[in-house]
Amino acid sequence: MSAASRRVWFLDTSSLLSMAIGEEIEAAVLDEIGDDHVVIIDVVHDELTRRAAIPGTAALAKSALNRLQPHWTVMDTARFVKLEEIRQAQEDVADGRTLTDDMQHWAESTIIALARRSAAAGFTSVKMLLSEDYDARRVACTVPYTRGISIHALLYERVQGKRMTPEAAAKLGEILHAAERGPVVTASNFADRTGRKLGRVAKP
Amino acid sequence: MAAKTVTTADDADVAALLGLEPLEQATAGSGEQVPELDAQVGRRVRAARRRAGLDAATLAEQVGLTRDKLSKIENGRRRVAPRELPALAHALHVPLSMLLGAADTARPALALAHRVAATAPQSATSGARARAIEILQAEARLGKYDELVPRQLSPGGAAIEQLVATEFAATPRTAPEAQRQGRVLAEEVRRILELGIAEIGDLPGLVEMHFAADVALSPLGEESDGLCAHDGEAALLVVNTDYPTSRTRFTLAHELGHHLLRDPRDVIEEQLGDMFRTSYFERRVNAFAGHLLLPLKAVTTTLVWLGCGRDDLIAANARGRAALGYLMVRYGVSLPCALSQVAEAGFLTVIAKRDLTDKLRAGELVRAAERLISGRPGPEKTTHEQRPPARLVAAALEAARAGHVGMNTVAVLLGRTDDDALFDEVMYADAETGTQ
Repeated sequence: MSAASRRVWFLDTSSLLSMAIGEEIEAAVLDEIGDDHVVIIDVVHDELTRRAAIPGTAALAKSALNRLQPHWTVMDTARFVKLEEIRQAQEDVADGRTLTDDMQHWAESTIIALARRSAAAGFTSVKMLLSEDYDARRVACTVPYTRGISIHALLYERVQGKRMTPEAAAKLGEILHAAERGPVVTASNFADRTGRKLGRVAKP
Repeated sequence: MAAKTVTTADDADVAALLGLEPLEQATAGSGEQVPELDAQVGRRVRAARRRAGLDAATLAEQVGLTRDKLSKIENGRRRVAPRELPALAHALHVPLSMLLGAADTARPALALAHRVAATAPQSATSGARARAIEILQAEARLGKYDELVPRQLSPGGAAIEQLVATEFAATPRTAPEAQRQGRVLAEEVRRILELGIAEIGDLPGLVEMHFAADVALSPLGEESDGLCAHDGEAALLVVNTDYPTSRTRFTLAHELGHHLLRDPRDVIEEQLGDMFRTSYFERRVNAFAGHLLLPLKAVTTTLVWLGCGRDDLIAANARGRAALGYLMVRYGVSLPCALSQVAEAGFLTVIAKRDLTDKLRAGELVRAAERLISGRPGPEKTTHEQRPPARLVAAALEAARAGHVGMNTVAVLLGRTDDDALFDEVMYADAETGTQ
């Protein structure tokens, strides 16, 4: 894959926490990312750092911080996106829900705002938002040259691309479910060619 | 800020990866304007800091800013970075959304939603108001990226609007005049829409089809019957279905009266008997509602057809009870409404009407009419129906499938829980049975 055609992956807080649950999950994601670029925005980094100091989330957040890869890029977003643009994206992601957490959707919304700016600038590199939040993925998919994808959807694509067996994907699904980071899923759900059996967790 | 193990992107990296040039940071003499939102956030930060009893130096240290940078933010001379806002909210112990402020209210539906909230009595927001607000907010979200089918006046609706402007502009000054105006308007509506003396089955559909208003029927508890929220651009009628069907229908017809007669209030809520106040406004719309649902010609025609005379009604014999029950079931009206219309048609005196109101029971009358009309739900039944505005539901389903709104918007409109079952119904509506 040439440098120009490499995709740019934005990993949000939720996906990094899911990856931190187990090495097998992380390995599957990293294998799928391959040689693509990975960007961690400052807001995600700050959120992980904040969570690392909160009992209950500290262990997973610290693990996620320790697993950041040396060749990944941390991006200072201050000079590339405006608050108003993030607020618009946050409103789209919230979809009318009252936010239950101050930080809810802020990082994903910042990424979506960056993707919108990039698309508006006519830049056609493909941006991938890896997120466990359905609405963040949904909004990301409405941005040109941008796609939102969950870890379950990523596993599903690996299964359909014969890069993983349905059973292996189901095992990772079980790990995510046990950590309360995903629903109950089965090998047949991953094997189903329509993709519908996984439901919302693998959509859009 | 960055972990030791990762690389920090410079401008060239960002340009290469995303094609983005740095925004110019506003500084003294740079000529760059600080966006209004950032200036507002700055003012809110200063106010929250003062309320918290924090000095600028302490807050600046807590959030990792220099005092100069914090001062510039507070004075609207520096943009706020995305990562700084959560840090400020955290340090000030306020929600991030408080610093960010409410979204713009330029969209008509959202502006009306704000007025519905703002005009609520001090006690609390009622179920009807809450329902109106969530529907108007959902409409605003739907209209953000997709062009909604506008509320439209049908040709008949436009003719009625014109008629109201010319013939009903004057406020009634007496009770009989209020009654007369309500009756004449209802008769004109029936004439222009060619309804004759037929019953109106789908009243919400009729309102939406002709009168540029959305209708929501929802179970809303017992605080209010419903409300009418309208202005020049948006109109929504909300009706409580935790009451018998006849009351629900009367309320909707009553709210339609407020809307058609251009009630100058943006929001008219019907709480605890408001509909039956003796003001001329209310008398007029009540008369309109009664005559729209059960026209006098329908009363006369029905009673003649059934051979039911004054004596049968006053005696409340089998024929009289069956006739009243028939009118209630066929026209979907309550016993008091049926008796009022029968009295106005000249079959009962006011005193006889009052006596019968006390004496008769709706359920008995409906049963008495079973041999004449069956297979229809009795007007005394409560359905707890959830019926969202048809225009918005169609738009929401399309928008959800396109990803322009989430399932929450669909769930709010349908009055359902946002769960996997709803997701499957919406996303795979065209799937064949057994393929899921």
